[in-house]
Amino acid sequence: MTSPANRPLRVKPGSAVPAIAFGTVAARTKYEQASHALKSSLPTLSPAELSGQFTALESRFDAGTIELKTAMLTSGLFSNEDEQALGAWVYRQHAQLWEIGAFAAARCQRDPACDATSAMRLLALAFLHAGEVVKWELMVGRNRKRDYHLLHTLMRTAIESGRHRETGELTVDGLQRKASIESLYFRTLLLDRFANGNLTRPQIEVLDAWLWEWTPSLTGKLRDPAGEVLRADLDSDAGLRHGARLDKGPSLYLELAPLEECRKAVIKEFHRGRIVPTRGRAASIRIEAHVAVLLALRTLLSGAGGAALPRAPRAPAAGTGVELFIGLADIAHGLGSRAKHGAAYDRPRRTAALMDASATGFRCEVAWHAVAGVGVGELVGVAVDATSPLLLTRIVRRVDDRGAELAQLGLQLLSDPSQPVRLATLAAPLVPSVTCVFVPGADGSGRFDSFAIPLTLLSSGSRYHVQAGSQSYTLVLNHVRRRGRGWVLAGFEIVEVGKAPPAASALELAPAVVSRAGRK
Amino acid sequence: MTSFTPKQLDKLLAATQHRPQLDMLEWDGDGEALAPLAASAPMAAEPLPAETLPAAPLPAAPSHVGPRPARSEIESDPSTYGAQRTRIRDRYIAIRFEGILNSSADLRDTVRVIKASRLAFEEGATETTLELLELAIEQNPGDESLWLAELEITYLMRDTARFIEAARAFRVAHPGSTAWPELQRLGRSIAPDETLFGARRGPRDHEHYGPWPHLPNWIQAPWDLTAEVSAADFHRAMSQA
Repeated sequence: MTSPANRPLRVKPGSAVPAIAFGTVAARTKYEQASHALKSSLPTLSPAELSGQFTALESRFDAGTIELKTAMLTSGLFSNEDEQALGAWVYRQHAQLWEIGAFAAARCQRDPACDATSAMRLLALAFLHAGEVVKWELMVGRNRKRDYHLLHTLMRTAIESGRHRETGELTVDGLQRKASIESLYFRTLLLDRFANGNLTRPQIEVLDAWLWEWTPSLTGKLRDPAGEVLRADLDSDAGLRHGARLDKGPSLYLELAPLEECRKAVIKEFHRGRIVPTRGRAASIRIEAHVAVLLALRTLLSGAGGAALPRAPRAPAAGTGVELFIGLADIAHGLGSRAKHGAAYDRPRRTAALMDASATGFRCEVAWHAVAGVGVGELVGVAVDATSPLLLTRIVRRVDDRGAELAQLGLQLLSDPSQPVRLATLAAPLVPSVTCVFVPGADGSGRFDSFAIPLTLLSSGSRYHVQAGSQSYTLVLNHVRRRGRGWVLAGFEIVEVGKAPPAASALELAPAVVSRAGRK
Repeated sequence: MTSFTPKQLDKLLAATQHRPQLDMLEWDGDGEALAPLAASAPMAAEPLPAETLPAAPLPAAPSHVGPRPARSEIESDPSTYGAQRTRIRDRYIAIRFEGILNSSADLRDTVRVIKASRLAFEEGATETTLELLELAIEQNPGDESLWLAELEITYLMRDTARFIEAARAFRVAHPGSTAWPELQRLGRSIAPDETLFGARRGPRDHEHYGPWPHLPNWIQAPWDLTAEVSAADFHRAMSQA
């Protein structure tokens, strides 16, 4: 009987995918041996041998991982450590291909015996895998700054050769793609902008699929053009930066307006009932992922973080300890406990070290096991100490450092630090009460007040009575200010005010009791 | 070197055998979109399979909507889409406008759409505002209130190019609209050199009205301040609790 470890991957009838894949330990071991053998023999191979062997290895890896990658990215895997192991293996192989490809390309460029077309093809393949390394790095967690010195150096040599805009064909995930050295270079750097823990792995796959479609717009300029731009400093080790370079060093500028047009075209296609691209892995990824990427791209392409919309300055927080309350129920529990005891002692505490803070949010580090299963979009309450008000935030970034068993969280502030959030209970006849959080706006107008509520509670037209002070307010939750995993920050409109019934002294129980009053 | 336990491999192998669920829609190209065109093309070599054709005859364009190229008419008219395109569009709308709309069917409630658009605009979410109105106009091209709301918001955004483009499209779609003189007045204000809006004229007696000064309130903003006063009272009462 065949053991599971040696069972080959089955391929759908009629599929063009070779049946080998990397579904067995033996197959993966064999591939790794070939990869290591090539790496060890790099100094001894002629450019022609190097080129041939690298191309063959690269092609073998691409063909063997098509189905595995698709299964991992479309079937909701990566949900535990076991399932992440294969993703980590894929990452390591791409990293090795990038390393070998970069060496081969550099050697071929320097060798007069190697023709320029072969050199450019090697460089294109190397850049292809540089992008894949960025995409798959999430599988091992990011624990150091990415260094793009080699990427920039190779790009400079391509520019100097004058062939960086020539397009060639590559086979990627079994699909024929046309790309230039320049577009592959910008693909890697744009993926770098997003593979920072703010997008999930399937979302990054969607982004990458669009970047392949947008290759004609991934062209650079050596001088700063007018308008919003990102730039790559060719003499640095950094990724893309906003705006013009102030010193005279060499840079390549990427205009954002054409990419924004591409993004709008994707939206238009959704309006027309079509997914972009129409084929390939990304077409099988949930539409939620596509919408999340559209929103993330909007932020980048609008110039956020650049000179026009700079990021709020951050101040180091030296690891100050804070307590985290994760999810609406935990936040409500924390608020209730703090109101009674000054602190929440009746639950396992999640403490984090605050690394830096700004007017818009925080960055903190927390033990990986304490936030297992917690991801981008989760609602988080942050308490600096037992007496200061609990701040409402949402996770906008998560990066794991698996070696140190730490997770780094980027938290965006949703409440104003000067306006404490309060517990509110939504009581409806015939259904159990629901606890929610009243989030006052920064000013006294009430215009920016919200309720953080479970998403399921938001049904258009629903009216609620809220007793506050001596008045009874009837309100309609009518728009979404922010949203995340199962929660929304809902704006509301007060449609009626009356005297509160004397018996219903709601504020004795909680800051507000909201009762459902029916539908409009 | 990584090796996998039998349990890990079983999971991975099982995953490769499963096709994506409902939400993981696959697209089979432009066949569906072009089917109505192909069916009517005189050179069509053979009949198309029944499932590629629309379930019902294409609805006639409203008489007040001007002629547009056939491709454009089909492309921008969701009522001509087949089941798969409708499903993708619906799913996109439900996700993009979560908490506001559940599907394209909700776009028919134009009062609700205009109100949601106004609220989004007041929150500073201009892209959401305009996208919502654009989708609703595609769904209900005969309802001029949506066009007018889009024009008023575009005016408030001071997006001159978009305003002119939208006004021109509105004029074609609703040539008999009684709102056109008012629209021309806004147009002359935002784009005085644009001939579409006619020559400059002096101010009218009723120039200042509506919740936003000088504007016709096609976005249905509340006329009185009761809600604002109540909101401030509520904020104060909650803060003192």
